[in-house]
Amino acid sequence: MEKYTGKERIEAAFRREYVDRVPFNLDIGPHYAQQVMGVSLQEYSADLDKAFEAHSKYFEVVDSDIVTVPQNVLGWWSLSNLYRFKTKTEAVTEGVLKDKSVLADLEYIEPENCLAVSQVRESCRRTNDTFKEKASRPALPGPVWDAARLRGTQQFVLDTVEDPDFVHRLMRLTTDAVKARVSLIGEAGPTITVIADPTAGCSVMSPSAYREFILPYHKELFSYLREKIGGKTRLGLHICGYTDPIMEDVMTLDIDWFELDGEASLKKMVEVSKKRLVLRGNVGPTIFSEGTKEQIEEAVKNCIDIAAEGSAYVLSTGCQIPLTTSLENAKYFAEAAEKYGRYKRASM
Amino acid sequence: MDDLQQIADNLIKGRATEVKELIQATLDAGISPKDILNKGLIPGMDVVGDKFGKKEIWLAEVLLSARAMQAAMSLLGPILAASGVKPIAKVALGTVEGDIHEIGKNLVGAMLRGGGFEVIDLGIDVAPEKFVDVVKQGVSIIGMSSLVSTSMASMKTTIEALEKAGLRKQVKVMVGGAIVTQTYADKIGADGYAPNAASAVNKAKELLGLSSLS
Repeated sequence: MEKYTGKERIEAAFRREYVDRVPFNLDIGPHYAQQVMGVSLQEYSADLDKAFEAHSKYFEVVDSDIVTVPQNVLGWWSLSNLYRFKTKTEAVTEGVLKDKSVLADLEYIEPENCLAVSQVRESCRRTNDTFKEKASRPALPGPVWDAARLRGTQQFVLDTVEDPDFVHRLMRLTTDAVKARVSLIGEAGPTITVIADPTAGCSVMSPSAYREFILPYHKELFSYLREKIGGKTRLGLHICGYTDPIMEDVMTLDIDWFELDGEASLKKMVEVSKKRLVLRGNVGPTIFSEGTKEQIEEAVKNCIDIAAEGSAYVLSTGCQIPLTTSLENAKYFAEAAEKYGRYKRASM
Repeated sequence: MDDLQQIADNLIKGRATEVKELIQATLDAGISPKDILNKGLIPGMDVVGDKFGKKEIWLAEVLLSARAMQAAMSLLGPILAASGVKPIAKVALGTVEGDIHEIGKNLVGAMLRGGGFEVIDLGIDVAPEKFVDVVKQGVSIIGMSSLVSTSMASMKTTIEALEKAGLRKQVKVMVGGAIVTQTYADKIGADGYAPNAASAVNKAKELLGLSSLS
């Protein structure tokens, strides 16, 4: 049988085809790299060589079809690297908008002058060069994530009820920032550029709040990115937690890829999306730390049965695998993906 | 509609000012603070927890109700204490070391207050020693929250710190958070696990052998 690369499998998913099996992604982050690969969090974050070394070692054990672009979780995305005050030199920190009047004094740092952006661009290029056979996927902070960090998540949620105008003004700032930043990063040509807005889902925001305060900005963001970088990368959205009530809304966005997590129903999203998006997820993460080999196989089979027919599906956890995942369980997952992912090819 | 039902209804709607005004008016009318708590506030928070669990209301509404509850207790708490009404028990809550998520912990706090517990909020990124210290001061339950797998291990470290300090047997340990499961709770030796804020009240009562209380 001809051997295909991870990148070819992902490209096939975008064409709604299969090559040899359902593609899979088992996402590791720096914390897991530290635990299993012996590369410390500091090393992973400060030294791209070490981060790539960790991913290379991991792929020797679990040959995931996608590589999540290594990023410095300790620094690159700190708010002080993304935003600044117009009138003073202090660093912008989480919760800086506890006093809402401070918003008038905030601006985003032009991406050309933003160290975080140049570092992620470099990491994207290097990922493409180093892991040529895999699809590359940077997950980049979205406008809701930035807004919640600037204001404080709890207060941001309350603002949607008590001060809608403030929420819109804050979303204006963060959406403009993300548009500028991601359009530069996307030029590096990762396979899929994912906007990560973990707090945009219904575990945090109500469906009506999503429609009023987030959807218009997500629409604007993805339309802009499509125009700017759509020829170089595909566009994806990651939302953590429960998203069932807003799945139809997600379908109105100009995206190619949607990542499900937590309580979100893969079955419902398959029905709603009708293969118009490539879906990634929704193997529950806890099964990796607590499940048996049989339970992992069952979870893999279940997701494949729900979503794989007709392609446009990537078998994966919703988020990164838990830190408590044993390498053995990660291997079981990869083995199950190989075994059960060779799916009903005759019927396609 | 009677006054206590009005308190409950306004609490459910998250109207802090109205709740406080109604409580004051009800006290002025001679209704006991204990009845206001047991027949107004607690049933109100029960409805909030129930609706949230069924996804009939969302986080913003719960946060508003939680804030209204806090306002209510700022008025009623001292009056209850002065009249000799004791809380069910004292609970210390915190998001464990390495984790700065606070919403889940705050919701559990609001539900427990609404359920008649006294709550000490230790905040976020709480070191094991801080949990040990609060147990020394005398709490019946500690509740630990974690939302990310990178901080989950702090729950185990905290339980070990309680054991090392010789305090483990004098306190019940509850855990919860998006990534925590019953299996994990069992594995680290916690006494109880609550999958959501609403169920935390019943779990706390169960751990203290008070399941029959409403």
